Amino acid sequence: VIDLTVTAVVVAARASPGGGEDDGPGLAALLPYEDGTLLSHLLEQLDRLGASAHHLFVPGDAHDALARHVEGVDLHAYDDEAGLFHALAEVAGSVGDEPLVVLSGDVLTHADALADLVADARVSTAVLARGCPDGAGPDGMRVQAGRVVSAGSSRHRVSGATWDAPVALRVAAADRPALVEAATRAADTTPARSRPAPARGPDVVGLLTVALVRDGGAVGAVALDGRSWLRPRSRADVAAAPEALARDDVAGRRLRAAVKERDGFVATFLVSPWSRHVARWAAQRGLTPNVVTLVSLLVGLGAAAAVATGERWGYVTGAVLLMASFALDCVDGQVARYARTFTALGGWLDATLDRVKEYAVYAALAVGASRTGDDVWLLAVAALALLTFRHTVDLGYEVVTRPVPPAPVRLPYGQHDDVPADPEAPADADGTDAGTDAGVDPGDGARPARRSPARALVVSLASLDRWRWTVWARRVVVLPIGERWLLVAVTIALFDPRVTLTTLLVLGGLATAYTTTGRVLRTAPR
Amino acid sequence: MSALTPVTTLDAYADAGPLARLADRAEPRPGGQAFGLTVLGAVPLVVALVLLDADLFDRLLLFAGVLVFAVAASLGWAGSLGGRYDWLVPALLRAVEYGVVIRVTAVLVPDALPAAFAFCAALAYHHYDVVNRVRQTGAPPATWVSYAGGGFDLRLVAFAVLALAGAGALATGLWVLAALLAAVFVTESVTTWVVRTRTGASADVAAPEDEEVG
Repeated sequence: VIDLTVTAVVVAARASPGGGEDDGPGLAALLPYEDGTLLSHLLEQLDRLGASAHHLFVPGDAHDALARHVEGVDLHAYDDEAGLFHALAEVAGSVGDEPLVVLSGDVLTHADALADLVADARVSTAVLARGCPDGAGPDGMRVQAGRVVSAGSSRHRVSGATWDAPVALRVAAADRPALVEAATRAADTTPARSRPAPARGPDVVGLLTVALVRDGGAVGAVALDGRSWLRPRSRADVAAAPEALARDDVAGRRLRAAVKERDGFVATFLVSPWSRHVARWAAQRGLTPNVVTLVSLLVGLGAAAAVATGERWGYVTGAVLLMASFALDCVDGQVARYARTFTALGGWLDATLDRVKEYAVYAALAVGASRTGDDVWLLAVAALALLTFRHTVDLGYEVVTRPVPPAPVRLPYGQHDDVPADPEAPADADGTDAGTDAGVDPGDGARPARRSPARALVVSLASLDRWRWTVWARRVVVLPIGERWLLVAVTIALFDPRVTLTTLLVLGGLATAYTTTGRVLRTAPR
Repeated sequence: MSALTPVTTLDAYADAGPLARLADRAEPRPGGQAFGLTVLGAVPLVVALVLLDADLFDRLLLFAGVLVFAVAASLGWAGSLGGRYDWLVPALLRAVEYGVVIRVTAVLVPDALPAAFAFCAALAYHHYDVVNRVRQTGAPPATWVSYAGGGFDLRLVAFAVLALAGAGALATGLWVLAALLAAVFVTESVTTWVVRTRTGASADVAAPEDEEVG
């Protein structure tokens, strides 16, 4: 289900002289592209992503030319930049209660990139842009933990930019009042009209982003991640565009992005390399993640039923079905990421049914054993209690260590640079735990060496992560779901329930001791 | 996108029942001692569990241990979970509750261990349900569920009463309690999701993908 969206498309950029249309105002957005124009192409892309209404903002002299080209959209003519922002504020404040997307009418990019901004349920108020870890220009953005903390524009300088200037801005329904305020501020702060208008038109997306961020608004950053975007200014630019866009591996990137970034060893190396193709197949056929989750539940319960027979063939069948159920468990999340369909219900089903499947298998192990005269109910219920305890430790720790999103740098909109006037105010939110730990050099005498033994142990364990394999060793040792289910599958296929449950208790006990100790040390006083 | 603070989230994870909520109304409220009270309150109970045998004295000792723990942990929970190690309190409550059920059943009526499994499975459903709902929607179950489900405090006392009453009562009681609790917990959570989905609330959610706890 995609939320409907209202779009505010600014059609102001002029094509370069001599290179564009002879058609009156020479708007870049009206350059011919495919069967229509750049503008009609963009509007069609947005329509397919759930746009319910388009509002076009055009310079007064171009109104009639544009009116001949587009139908079924609301045209708002403006005289100058202040008029443009006032018109934007009015639309933002009065039209519908959907999220609103602001961008320039001559933008040419992949629908897949726009979808990441417009049609992803996880995205609230955010900008679409290219990340540049090596640094970006003064009109770019400084982004921390996925949030814009400071932004530049045609009139604002940003320091320490790590992202390029934004391509498009999406404002969540709840933030529409903030957008009204931002647009009004931009209108009231516009320089005198006598200055020549830039050929690209006003930097609407950049200026609005600055106004929102400097007002303390939470603006996320959605990465273009290798997907190009262009603003052609001539027929020659347009002619070169398809080749440039075709160089991007959009389909491959989307498939890679469907895989969860941080996952267990089994999930990452044994399942995801092929399950993402299953996920794409399912998503293209319109299967929802929740359907996949329910199929995974059925397969998991089938595994439990097979194990409960107490027969060798049942154990082997159960092992196979259990791993199939785990693969489907990876697929549901991948379908959600691929199709950008995230719901609270889906998240709850996924997490809760994992436990239903797993504890059904524990009970089935005890039932199966009882058919051969072995009573392992004590082991089964102990395994259930141990895993629940361990998860509760993890979840409690997560609650108190959840990172606080970085706050934007609050500044007056009229200020050119982004240096806070108050020298006491921190310019950025660096100095988090992770940052401090990572920066510690054991042989560095410059830092005060007053660290408790507990901290020292945590730091030295963390420093092991310099070697890649230790990262994976640490992830395997804590026995995440994939590793645990593989352990169950292998031991039940080869041995019997007693061996399986004993192995689970011993290795799960070690994992519990390891993770709990680590978490307690990390919360110990420094 | 939990709308709850860390302290109220841990409060919800703890699954406190009527006793703890009664302690919550006491004045003056104890503060910031949840971890210490929970650990210290568990000491006599652990001793009673280790010594446990089928005779009446041991079962009385167990009952006393459970009462001490229920009161201590309730007072700790009522003081709010803002202390340095209070993130461990929900896990400690799980360990004590599941541990008591498993140890006592294994000693008094080993044949009833399947019932103990059913009982713990019903609890586990609820405990994961609370956590996953808070993580996905920012809203824990309604307060009446804490009373109907008993919370860790009332359930522990009820279990100790069954243990005191004897092996037969314990075996039957575990099955009955498991069925009742499962009915309450599953019905309530499914109903909540059905209502939430019907009223279209699902559209409001942009739950950022949490680090899944595997």
